[in-house]
Amino acid sequence: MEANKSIREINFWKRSPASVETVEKIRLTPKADKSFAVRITSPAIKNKDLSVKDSEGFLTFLNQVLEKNSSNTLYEAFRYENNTSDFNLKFFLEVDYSDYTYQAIKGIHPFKQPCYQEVMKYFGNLIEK
Amino acid sequence: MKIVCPICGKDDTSGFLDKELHTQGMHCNSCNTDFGVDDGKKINEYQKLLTDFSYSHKDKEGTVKEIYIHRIKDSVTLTPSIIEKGVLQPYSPIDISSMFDKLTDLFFNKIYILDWVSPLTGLILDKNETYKIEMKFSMNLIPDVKKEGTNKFPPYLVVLEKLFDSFFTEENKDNGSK
Repeated sequence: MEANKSIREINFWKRSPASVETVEKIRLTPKADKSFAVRITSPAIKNKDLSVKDSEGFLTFLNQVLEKNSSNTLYEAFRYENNTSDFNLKFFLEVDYSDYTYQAIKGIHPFKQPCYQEVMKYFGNLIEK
Repeated sequence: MKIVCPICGKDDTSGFLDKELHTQGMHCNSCNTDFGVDDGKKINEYQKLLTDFSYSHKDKEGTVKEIYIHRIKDSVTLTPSIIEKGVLQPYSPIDISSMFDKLTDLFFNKIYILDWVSPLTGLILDKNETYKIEMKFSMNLIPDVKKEGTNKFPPYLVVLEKLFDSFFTEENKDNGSK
């Protein structure tokens, strides 16, 4: 597994099950020991850490998601498309790399998009835990 | 001349080309953010599909300056108006068809309007200064884009202010005599 040193930050938001107007936001930043610090920024601020093992699992999952979605321009996104008032978007995942660029995935098709359900579940669990 | 970052306003920026993602753009070393990132198609799409652009700026005295740009096929009109002390001063629409391409190039490639942080909110006082921009696109193929701020503004807003101020001329005032 490639060390997470090339990732600067991962941001994700999804709509709250309680209300589509409310978004749940989470940010993961890599630490020196290859684990991730997790900060939930909405609905309430909460900080926690992923263990090294969980971080490795997370990176594997993330790579799979990016790979499966990057073959379809419908799901690839630019940062300026990160618009929570656009209700077509059900989630938005953005990975910032330290080499000055990012990769973003927009979630727009609950049942057609690769990994849609898995992404919602995985990050939903991170937000709730 | 260095390009100013549309997020933080600093000019410690550099261009990059990502061969893996087939994108290019700018990076701000001060706020560590990418902007103007494009794959050579996406921003062009925004430019081509823009049909409506509305701009509104209210100063601390309550004077509102508005600009409405509307495109129907190849015809583009710009309509300014001012609301001062509750009274609307309309201006005649101006045909800007010939400069529309340059204008959209300015919006999307020069002042990076898509990357502006919104909403921006500064310290709220008794008298507040606000701005609002709304963009609509042909057949809603692209979701509406809205940018707004109160007492805190994106670095490039001043460019739009200066540009749009040039349309508020005495001779362009609509005095209802036409």
